[in-house]
Amino acid sequence: MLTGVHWLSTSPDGSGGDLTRRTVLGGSAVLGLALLTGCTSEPEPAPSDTPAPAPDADAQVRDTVAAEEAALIALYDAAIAAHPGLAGDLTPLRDQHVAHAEAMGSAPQSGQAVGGVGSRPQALAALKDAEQRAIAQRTSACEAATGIDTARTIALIAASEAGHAEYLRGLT
Amino acid sequence: MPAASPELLAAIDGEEAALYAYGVAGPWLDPRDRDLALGGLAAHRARVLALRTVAPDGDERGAPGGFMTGPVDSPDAARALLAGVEARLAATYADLAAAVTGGDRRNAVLSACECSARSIAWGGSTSAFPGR
Repeated sequence: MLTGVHWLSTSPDGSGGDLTRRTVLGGSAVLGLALLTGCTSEPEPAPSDTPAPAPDADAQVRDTVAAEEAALIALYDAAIAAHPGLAGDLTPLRDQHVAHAEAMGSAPQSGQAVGGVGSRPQALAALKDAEQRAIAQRTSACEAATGIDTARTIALIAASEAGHAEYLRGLT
Repeated sequence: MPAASPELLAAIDGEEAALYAYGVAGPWLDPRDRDLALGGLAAHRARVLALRTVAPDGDERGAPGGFMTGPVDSPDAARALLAGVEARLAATYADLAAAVTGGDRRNAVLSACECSARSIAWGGSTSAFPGR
């Protein structure tokens, strides 16, 4: 049930790194070391939220995330339309993407129509792949963000989408 | 060594609390969950050891029962405890991500994603903002 499945093919920078599900769920010590060296060598951020360098410094980051969320919403809408039996499972995930877009300050547009979602397994696989791409996109967006609140929110969105990918894996 | 940030200490506390919770839940889990439990346990243990090497004062904090929400007396309660623990730790790592930059931030985001995925694997509900 839990072994060997590629569920997260991510190198957030797109350089082709490859994480197996075992790596992610089984864990590795790789993370901690790099995580902390910076904490000791760089100035500490202020305990409270530090204002971004400029009011709109993160506007483009947020707009990009919002547009990517709109594309995900469109993908879910198409899958639900083609496979109404999946609505109970997929609608909550779709609505969480709406919340993501709203958190980025954007009322989600009804995304461009998506055609040809294929069979039920194909539709679920396409959604899972899209969520995995989204994790990589969010990771890069989070790294690019200058505001603490924006960075935290995008990190939570990435975590949400990792949960989506796991949930979708459970449906297949 | 500069003092560790509050977010870093919170991550250490969260990992300690997660290890404690896995210890409490473990005896109640169905054998079919063994691989998931061992994987989560190994991940949290590796993470806390790595975190403590650079923030040794984290040793003196620690709230090992910090994630306990009630008695665990059934497999369902054990899975629910771990689903909740992982979701809360995901949010803790999102806080850490916001407090650091560059590669450290990237790694904290990945940690948050791992925790969130494990939360769902334990039967937790999906959320737009896990742990919040």
